[in-house]
Amino acid sequence: MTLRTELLIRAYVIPENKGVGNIIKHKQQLFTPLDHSEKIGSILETETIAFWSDVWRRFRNNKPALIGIIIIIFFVIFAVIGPLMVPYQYDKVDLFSTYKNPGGEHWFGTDALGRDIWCRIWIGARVSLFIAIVSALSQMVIGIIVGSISGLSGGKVDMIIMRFVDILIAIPFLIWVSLFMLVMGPGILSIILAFSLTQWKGMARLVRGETLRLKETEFAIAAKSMGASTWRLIRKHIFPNVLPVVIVSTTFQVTNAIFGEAFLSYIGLGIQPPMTSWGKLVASGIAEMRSFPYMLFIPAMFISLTMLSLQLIGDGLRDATDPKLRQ
Amino acid sequence: MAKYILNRVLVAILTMFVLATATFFLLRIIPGDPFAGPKVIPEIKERLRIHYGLDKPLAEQYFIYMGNILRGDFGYSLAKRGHRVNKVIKDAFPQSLDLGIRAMIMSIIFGLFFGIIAALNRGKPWDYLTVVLVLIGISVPSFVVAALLQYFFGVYLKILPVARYDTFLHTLMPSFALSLGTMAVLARYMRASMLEVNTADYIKTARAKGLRNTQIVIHHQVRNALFPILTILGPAIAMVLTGSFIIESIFAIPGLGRHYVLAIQNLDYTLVMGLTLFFGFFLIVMNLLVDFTYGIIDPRVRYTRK
Amino acid sequence: MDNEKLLDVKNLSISFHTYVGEVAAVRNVDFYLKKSEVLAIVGESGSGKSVSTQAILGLTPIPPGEIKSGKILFKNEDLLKFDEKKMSKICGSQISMIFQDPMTSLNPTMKVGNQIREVLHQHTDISRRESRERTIELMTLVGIPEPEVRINQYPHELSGGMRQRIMITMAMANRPDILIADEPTTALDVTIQSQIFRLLKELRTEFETAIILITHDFGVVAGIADRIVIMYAGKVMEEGETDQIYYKPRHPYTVALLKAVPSLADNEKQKLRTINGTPPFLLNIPPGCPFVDRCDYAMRICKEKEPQYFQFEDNRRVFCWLYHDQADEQFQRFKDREGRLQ
Repeated sequence: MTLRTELLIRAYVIPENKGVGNIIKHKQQLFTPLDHSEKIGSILETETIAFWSDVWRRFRNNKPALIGIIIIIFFVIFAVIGPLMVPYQYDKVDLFSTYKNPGGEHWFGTDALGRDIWCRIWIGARVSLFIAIVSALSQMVIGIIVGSISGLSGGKVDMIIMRFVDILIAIPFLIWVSLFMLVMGPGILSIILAFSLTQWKGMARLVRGETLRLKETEFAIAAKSMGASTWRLIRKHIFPNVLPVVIVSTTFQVTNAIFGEAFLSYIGLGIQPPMTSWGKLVASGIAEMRSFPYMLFIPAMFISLTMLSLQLIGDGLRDATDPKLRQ
Repeated sequence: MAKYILNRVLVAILTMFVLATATFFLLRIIPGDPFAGPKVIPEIKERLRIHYGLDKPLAEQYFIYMGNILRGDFGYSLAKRGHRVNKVIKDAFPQSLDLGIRAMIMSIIFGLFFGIIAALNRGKPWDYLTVVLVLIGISVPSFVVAALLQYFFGVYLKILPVARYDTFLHTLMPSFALSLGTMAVLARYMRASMLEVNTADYIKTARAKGLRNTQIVIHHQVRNALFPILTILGPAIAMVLTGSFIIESIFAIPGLGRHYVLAIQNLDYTLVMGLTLFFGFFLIVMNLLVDFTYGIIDPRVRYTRK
Repeated sequence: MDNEKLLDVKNLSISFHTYVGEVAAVRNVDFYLKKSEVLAIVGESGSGKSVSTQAILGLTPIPPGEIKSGKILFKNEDLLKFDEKKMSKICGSQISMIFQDPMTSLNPTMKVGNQIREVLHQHTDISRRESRERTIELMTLVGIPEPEVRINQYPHELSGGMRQRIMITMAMANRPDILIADEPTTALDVTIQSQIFRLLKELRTEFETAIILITHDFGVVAGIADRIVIMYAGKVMEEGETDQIYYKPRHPYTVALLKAVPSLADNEKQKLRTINGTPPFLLNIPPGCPFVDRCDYAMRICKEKEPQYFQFEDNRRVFCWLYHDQADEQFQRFKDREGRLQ
């Protein structure tokens, strides 16, 4: 009693005008000790959110990325059904209908040989998208395998592989690819091979970095000590952890592949006629640009939109999986 | 520091060596006999046989080849009436270099500028504008941009020449088209770097010292944001180089890139290999220089802990 | 020493808008600083100690942060109302701040000497030659050996303790009235810790600078602080003179904090005493005292209503229902168990 009554100057609340007043009435109930069970509520109550649902939530909130996905899905759908929507074939030559403007019977017009461009755009879409996606996926697989092996083995093997990668990186993508094509001859398969075999280096580096990091963690050591085979290690431990960066990287690789295919077609190493691709369409468009600009604008627009959408998706995925942005 | 230099130089030499070997073997595995193709005139065949030692065993050919390269002799072109590859390079390199330098300067100046402005105006119109431009710059392939520029300014408005590389006006469109891709990448990275630096503790310290915003921005933010950009300078140079293939083709500029494309189309294998080697060496040396510059400029690398 | 308050923080409330909601980091906080005194603000991570002091220098990031109420009076003006220009005149010259990690707090690409000279040039009309000389003087004063050499070095070339001395040099260069030290030794070795504290004490004597020392470590405070403010979950729990707080703590939280400091008197087998539980998440703040779930003396009212502040003659303030006249039984328990109260 002494403490309070003698030294106490006043009791107040902040801010002072909140009104101190005598709010205390029922002493019995209010000033009795609190039961332990009533205290529990203070434990942190944030939900533990599973990683992937968080990623999905963040991605969903990213409007540009969603637009990107919608556009891509749109293109894929039309790649399948587009040519079926008109009574023309992509390779049907009709010398009476050359160079028709878009609109009318030919929605996108016709080219120098009278072929319907709407058809050719969607057939081209199939080719370009197919090449791009397959190349990106095979790069992903090769990259993961090489990267994990390099990271897991460490030492000399790692060094040799990394030197090899350095040398691959020294020469730009397009030069490698052109060389490959020269040697292998044109065609869809060659293009896919050329891309796959030369572009896995970025992925390999990423995976190797991640592998090295994981090698230090306890559970990998534990798994190894239990005799887990290398393959199992890759599958169960490395793969799930590198998946986010790998997915983001692969998305950007698709853009590179589309660009690369367009480049190859422009210089003549790409798809051979009568098959066509967006790159080829742009190439012929450039040649006809002066008199028939639509032949350039239309495929150019499709390529640009696709690359833009992929960029947005890639950025969205990157932001959604970035651990630093988790709160 | 010296160790760093030595290491880098050794790696560079090794890379060049591997590249030269690779081109040698590539020449040999092309289906059919590249040296006997339809483009090759009989008089040249003899010269080639002597130069490359085509009748000798493979191993010896290899040494001849490597020896040639060490002497800086890239061989003979198949299609161009036996011109030496070196001559082609000598004639075309100045144009490409000029174009490349203009493009690099443009990308650096505008790229960094937009990146800085965007970061400083986060969330405001300048930022959005930059982000949009960057996206367009990355997505629209350079040849599309080049063709569109050509059409618009050359054919439609008729104010700029569409081909060749003779006057200053000639250089405008090609260098701009070539710079766009790199410009977009630099802007994006600079913006990201500036934003990242902004959250650093030393910026807080700078504010706590009472420094005004402009002072902070220039001396602390931009300075530190620039360092990571140096690391992408190497790939940026590579981008400009490969971009030149397309730009030179579209604008009919007699540079190395255009020769490369023509060589591929003409199946002029020796020229292709020769040019590949040249490009490769050029890039390796450039990357080496960028590495050195980074090592010299960044005080963290320059002064090792005592 | 006159009773005038050099700095008076009144009813300061700061919240942060995050995507999960509004986090109330600082809630109705009051404290003051007198001329040349050392005030220690002690609290766990997340107690709001750093946020409240950063607001003094206008360093609170305004989106997402928001100053919901309060005044910070310095020389009769409210710092919260200052615009950037006015604020920049105060920062670094009348009020300075040093931060926790000197490695990241210094510009890695700028020579340390230049970073010191920068703050001199910003606030005074000094010439370049003079600023160089003055910097060397200051560095010597602060105990940096070979200042002529060090002035041209980069942060990564110096040791942790040295870097913090550079930070202190920068902060003291213009003889500020107040120095705010936010956990200055947390990132440093214990041996360096005492050196830095000794330095701060010397500087206080030499320059008559008042110091606000922020720390989570109750142990270091005894040797240097004149008064202590204890914060928890964004609120001030207890405030008083150092001796009083150490020997006669009045708030259960303070008592628990003091018990947690290991003492040389403990035998080896003594387990470290910790406070059970974790601080509350400041998102949807439940009513009542924030410490209720971890307090051994909690009463029903503690869960329902926020305590009042009880101000005592001996310059003390406690935020706890135990000091209400109707809490005698519980208070008696507290007195008996903790036994240190007068």
